[in-house]
This record gives sequence, C-alpha cells and structure tokens, in this order.
Amino acid sequence: MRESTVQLLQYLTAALLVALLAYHVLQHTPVLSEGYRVSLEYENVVKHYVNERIVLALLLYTALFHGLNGLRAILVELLPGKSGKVATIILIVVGLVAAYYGTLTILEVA
Amino acid sequence: MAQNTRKVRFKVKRYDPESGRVWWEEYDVEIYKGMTVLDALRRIREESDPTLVMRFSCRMGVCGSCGMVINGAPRLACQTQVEHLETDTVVVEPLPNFPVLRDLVVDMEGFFAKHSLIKPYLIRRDVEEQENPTREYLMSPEEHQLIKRYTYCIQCGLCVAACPVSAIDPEYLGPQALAQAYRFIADVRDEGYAERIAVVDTEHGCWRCHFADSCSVVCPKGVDPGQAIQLLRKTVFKYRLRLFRKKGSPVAPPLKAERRPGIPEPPPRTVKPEEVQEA
Repeated sequence: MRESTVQLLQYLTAALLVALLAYHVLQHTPVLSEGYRVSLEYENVVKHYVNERIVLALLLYTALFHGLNGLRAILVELLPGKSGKVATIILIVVGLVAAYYGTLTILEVA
Repeated sequence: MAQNTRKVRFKVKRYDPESGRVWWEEYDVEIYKGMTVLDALRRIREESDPTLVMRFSCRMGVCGSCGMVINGAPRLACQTQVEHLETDTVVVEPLPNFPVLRDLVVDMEGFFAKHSLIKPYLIRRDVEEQENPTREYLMSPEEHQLIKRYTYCIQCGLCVAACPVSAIDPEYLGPQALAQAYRFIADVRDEGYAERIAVVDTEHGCWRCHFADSCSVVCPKGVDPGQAIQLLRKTVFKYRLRLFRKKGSPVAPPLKAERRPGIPEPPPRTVKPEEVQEA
C-alpha cells in the first residue's frame, strides 16, 4: 500500500474515532443511558453488545488501525533498514489477531 | 577596525578521525565590530592553531559551506556576528545529523545523494526540445512567486541539522530534498511531477515530517522547508486522488534582442572563434 494511502486512512480513522469514541463515552452517561453505574451492569452490557455490535466493531477496527499505524510510524523512524519492515509485518499480524479476537468477542456476546 | 575590541573565548569541538579522539579546545580571540564567527575561526587558524579544520568559501552566505552549530543553534559562520551572540564564550560544534570528518567538517555525501534522488532539474516530456532548445519556457511573475522562496536554497544543510526526524531516521529524505521536490513540482515549466511524487510518497518520504518547523527557523535564506513539505503533502494527496491539475507553461521563440541606442560596441575579440574550436 502506498504511504499516502496509509496516511489518508490515518486521517480518516482519526476523524472517525472522534465521532465513535464520543458516542461510546456518551452511552455511559445520562445523555444516552441511565448513568455510568447502570450502563455497566451485566444485562446492560450484553444489551449494549446486541444493539451496538456494528458500532463496536467499527470502533475496534478504526482504533486498531489508527493506534497500530501510529506505532508503525514511530518504529519505521527508529528502526533502520529491514528492521522497520519486520516491525510493520509484526504489527499487521498483531492487528489481524486482535481484530479477529475482538470480532469473535462481539459476536459471541451478541 | 581595532576600535571597541574585547576578548571572547571560543570553545571549539574537535575530532581527530585517526585516533577517534573528541575534545574541546579553547581559544581567546580579540573581536572587533562586525567580526563574524568565520572571521574569528580563521584568525584562530592563522594565529593560534593551524590544525583547526573547517569548510568555507564565499564568506557572504551564498555557498552554504560554513554551516556549524554556534551556541547551540545551526548557523552559517559567515553570517553570524560574534557581537550579536551577546556572550563572552562562543561554543562551536560541527553540524549534527551528519558524520563528522574532522573538527568542524561534516560529510555531505548522503545529503547530496538525497538531493539528487528528487531530480532537482527541469524535466520535460519533449526531451529533444529540452536538449536542443529552440524556444523558451515562459513563466509569469505570479507563477514565479509561487516557488521563489524555495529557489533560494543554498544546500547548506542547516535544516537537516535542526530536523528532529533526520536525527533519528537516517533514511528520511530530509527537509532540504523535500522542499526542493516541491519547488520543482510547483514549477510550471516542469513536467516531471509523477517521477518526484514516486520518490517522496514513500516510507521515509514526506509523511515522516513531524512539522516541528525547526528547519524553517534555522534556514539562513528564509526558504521555509516546513511550509514546502506541507504543500508537498497536499500535492501528493491531490495527485493520488486524481485532483491534481498541473498548469503547464507555454513555450515561445526567444525574444529578438535589439541593441539599445547609446551602448558602445564591444572591443574586438582577442581570440578568433575558430581558434577556440581548435582548442
């Protein structure tokens, strides 16, 4: 993938994260629920997983891409030559495993 | 010239590549009004220590040879007056982010290799016309203004020395090369933008810039590489999203030169043209 495409995705996921995280946080406040404590009760968490699984999955994928790509940018600068490329491959694997495990959790609970 | 003199201590970082020894050497120099750091270093070399090694040439901020760290900031020694530093001790070191060859001289080979990578010359599709020009590439004053400040680059390397990314990533193209890439991409006479974008849109290209802008702060010619890199990123995005429209420059026959009245004839040639050809 071209570096400009990666950077464009980094900007898009950043914008998306602002909206998704704001929504995610608001769901635990009286604005969108009955309050912080009530929103974290077991039944409510399960209900949340059932009703908001697409939003949660989107939050998972955007956060994973944005965070891991940020880490990759740092490692590419710090690690010379092939080490940077190895770090990129490791981070892709970590991202895929985390995305798989996260998706599985969302689907299982939902 | 000798009026208002005072003594200033120069603390110079020395390096001997044969022994690998690095040490600080101190010299006292009697300075005068308008004396530059380069003048002082030359005086040290002439009067106190002929082994002190530094690089310089024009002494007027044009050649970009005498870049060094003076009192913690990368500057041109020939453009820095000792009095303006307002200290009794002047600390002089070689430029960081470059391998040191000896004392204050650094190896610029990698720097110029990166500069060459971005193809710092006009590229035209019509190679035949470019190699054997019959016409001129026109550029309006407004179009010139768009790239004017970037053309002032003297390749002194101060921007690279100040760049925090160049400090940790030796493969990073650096502010000088990236600013020059933008200078040629934005030039209406140039048609080689695709080749340059392929060079800068890479892992160690324009996306690694953190926009610390220290390059622009230290540039002795006001080139503002930080701004050029941001404009370069914008151009790359536009190009990749197929929104980039390069404005071409018209070509026209050269204007016919007419001798203005009152200008005397040149003296006769001392060497005949055929003799020049033979030589």
